[in-house]
Amino acid sequence: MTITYDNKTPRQFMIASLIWGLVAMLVGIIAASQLSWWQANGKFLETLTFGLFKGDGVEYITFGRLRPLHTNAAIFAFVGNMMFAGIYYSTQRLCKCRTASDLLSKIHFWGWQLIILGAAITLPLGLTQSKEYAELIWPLDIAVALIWVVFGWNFFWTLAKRNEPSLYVALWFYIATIITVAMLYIVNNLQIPTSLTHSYSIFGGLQDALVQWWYGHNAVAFFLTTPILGIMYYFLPKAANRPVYSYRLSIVHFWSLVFIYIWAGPHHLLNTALPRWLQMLGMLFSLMLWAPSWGGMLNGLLTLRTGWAQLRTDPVIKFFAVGVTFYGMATFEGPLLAIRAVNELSHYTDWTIGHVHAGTLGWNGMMAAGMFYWMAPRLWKSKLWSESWANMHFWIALVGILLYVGSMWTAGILQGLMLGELNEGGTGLKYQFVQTLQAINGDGDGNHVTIKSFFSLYAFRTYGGILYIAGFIMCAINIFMTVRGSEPAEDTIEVPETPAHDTLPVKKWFGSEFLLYVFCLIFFLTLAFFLPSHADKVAILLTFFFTWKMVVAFKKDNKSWSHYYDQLLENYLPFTFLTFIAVALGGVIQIIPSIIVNKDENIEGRLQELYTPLELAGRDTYIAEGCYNCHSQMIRTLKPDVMRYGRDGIASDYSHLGESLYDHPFQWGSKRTGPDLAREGGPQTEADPHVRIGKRDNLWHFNHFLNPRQTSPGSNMPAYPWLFEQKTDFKAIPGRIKAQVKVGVPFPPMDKHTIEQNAREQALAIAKTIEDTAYLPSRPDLSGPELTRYLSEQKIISLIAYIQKLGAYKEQTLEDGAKPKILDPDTQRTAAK
Amino acid sequence: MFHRIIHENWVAIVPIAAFALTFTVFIGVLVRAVVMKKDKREHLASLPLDDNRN
Repeated sequence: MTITYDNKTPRQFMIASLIWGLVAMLVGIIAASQLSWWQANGKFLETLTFGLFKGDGVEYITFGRLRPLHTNAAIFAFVGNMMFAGIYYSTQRLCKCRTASDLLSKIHFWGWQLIILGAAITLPLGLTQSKEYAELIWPLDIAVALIWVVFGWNFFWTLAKRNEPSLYVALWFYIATIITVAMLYIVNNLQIPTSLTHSYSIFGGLQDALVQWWYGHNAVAFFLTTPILGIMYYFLPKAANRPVYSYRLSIVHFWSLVFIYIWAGPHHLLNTALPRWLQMLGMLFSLMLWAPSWGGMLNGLLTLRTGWAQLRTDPVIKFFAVGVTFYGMATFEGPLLAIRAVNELSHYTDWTIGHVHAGTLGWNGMMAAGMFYWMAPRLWKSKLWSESWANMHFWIALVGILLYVGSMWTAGILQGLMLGELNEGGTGLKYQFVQTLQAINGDGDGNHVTIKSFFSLYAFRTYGGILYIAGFIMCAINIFMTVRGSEPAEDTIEVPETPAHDTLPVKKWFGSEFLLYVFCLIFFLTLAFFLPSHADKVAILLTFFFTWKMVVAFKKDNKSWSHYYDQLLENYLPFTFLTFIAVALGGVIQIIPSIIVNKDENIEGRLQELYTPLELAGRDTYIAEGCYNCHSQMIRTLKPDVMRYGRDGIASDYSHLGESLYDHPFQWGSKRTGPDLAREGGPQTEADPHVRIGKRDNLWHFNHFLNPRQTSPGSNMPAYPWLFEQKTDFKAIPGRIKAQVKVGVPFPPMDKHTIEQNAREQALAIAKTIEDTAYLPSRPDLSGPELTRYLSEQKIISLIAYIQKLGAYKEQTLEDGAKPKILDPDTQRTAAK
Repeated sequence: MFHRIIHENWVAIVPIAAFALTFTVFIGVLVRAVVMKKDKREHLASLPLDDNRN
């Protein structure tokens, strides 16, 4: 039989990856420079246009809006397209057949590019869900799900048509990628739309945090790692022209990784309001990840064991070897950061940023470059235009990564240590937050660009990024010159008669008696957690029963179990099913208990006050501006956190679980470029319930958004002049409250008119408090009641209303002690006392 | 039973249970990998290189 492979699809995805990679890196450099110099948020245009443009910033390019664009472009556009190129190329060759459908390949390619284009347009417009790496608005989410189904359909159809019965380990990693990403993406993006571009997550507070980081962590695991491992297992042996070092090790690598990775998500929420058992689970599984990750890395590196000389001469091998080494380094650092004690120091600082960039630039970026240099000459039947350029790319990129990662490690550790340092008497903190920022960003008041700022740790991050993109530009030119003038090549092979495969009927998917009992055991053990009293005891008894049956079955006929496993390697459907069980298990055990119990009727102690309509509108502005990218709303159960952000004289003033229960989506954040805001607000005043007494007064916030350096010298926060000119959408609030009610927020019954009137009254009341003191440079003609009326319509007032609400809660006591109690990290501490 | 998950000292139980489960899976996979027949192993490992020979 003669087979002609589809080389067009890998070619297209490779070119798309190169183009979007450049975009992602460019946006990353702009975002990095914004942290050094706030003027990069738009003020620089005054200089560039010789004064034609006037303003302190441009809303579409602030850090809060560009950062999601950078992360999404790097993950889904750069690595996504690269991974599809590798998967389409290798799957056909491992299956010895052409991709099942050219039409589906075409829909996949163009659909994916349109989604990326949609993201590139909507994210700068401030249309976001605010969930990290899942910011895309709901119509794009649906498009992602549909295109992913097209990809999966085409992939599995190709497996079904294959002419090679055995499934190579790279295909296992692709299978795990396809089913896990689908599961994660769909669950994390369950939401109720309020308009074509806005929605609320169905999860709130802790639930949302848990689901989000189950997704976020595993987006790294199953989008940035497993497919690239599949690519490593295919392309590294090809480039080295020898089989993988140990096929046995690759089997252990796959199953261990797939089984363990999915459980580790809670390590993103250590020392927070997350229940301690979940924190321990996240930490433990992260530590266990060391073993499979390093097994995989060693397997990759040892594949080169007799060909180290190639490292000197072959740029492809050079990129692969360093890429795999970075995989090892990043997967060593990840579990290290997941140790609670280390996480105290590292979390919310740039250390984490350094870690993820070691992964993306080092592991993904270097593997991508190696694969492109290997594929391009073969897909166009030509010779690589310049090996010297490829070598130069390698060294520039490597130095860039080291500069980037080194400066971020230093910045993170420095800031982490400074934030926890006490004064000499040990009674207070030694440094203000902004002082820790100045230490890593060059001191000064931030109003002017100083020479020192060019030698700061943040500046060196930017320089590292510039070097990396310079290398990548060389790669793009090299590939362009390689394919220029060459005809796209088609590969044709002769395939012998295909032996039978995929013969295991569905009824025999559990054909091994042993395996059937293993599943029964797990099923009833899981049920035992959730069933009411007495029924749970029956479930436990059944668990023991099936354990006994399992042991007997294994003793009786362990050959059939072996046979069953061998059959799996030639039957993709049961293999896929088993993989799904492995990845679903961790999510179910972690998430379902929290979804069931984390409800307001179970909260004892602090319960979040509901937002007023205006505060909810302000919250939407907070999300649209991407404030969560720099500000957390989670005071960890750590002394320095409580001392810095808690209130004087109030015991245990860390963030309790109930305080963010109604936050759809949650806003705990993952990085503090600015201080935590969880206690920024306060209770309503007695004189006017529309006005609250927060940590700072309304005028301070007004001036802060106008020019952050006026109120916080040294701040690198952008100015937000447009918030003073754009109107709050009062008409949209009723629809949004309706959606909030649908996701479980107990707003009292209100009609549209009441909601809108309430919001307008509160806006007027807040604007009135600054009527005599506020000065609006863009409208110097306004003062007194006229200014109040004007401001009350603007977004700035609704945003101030939201900020002044943060941390407002009421105390709730439970009369019925039999009900489940609060999931709170201090449960253990209280019990110990 | 569920509310007892919240009350009881899971710090001690969860790591042990999780480790036991994972270790069981690991041992099962390890055994399968070790007893895999040599010809099968070599056939699978050589699959990426097949078209190098074509």
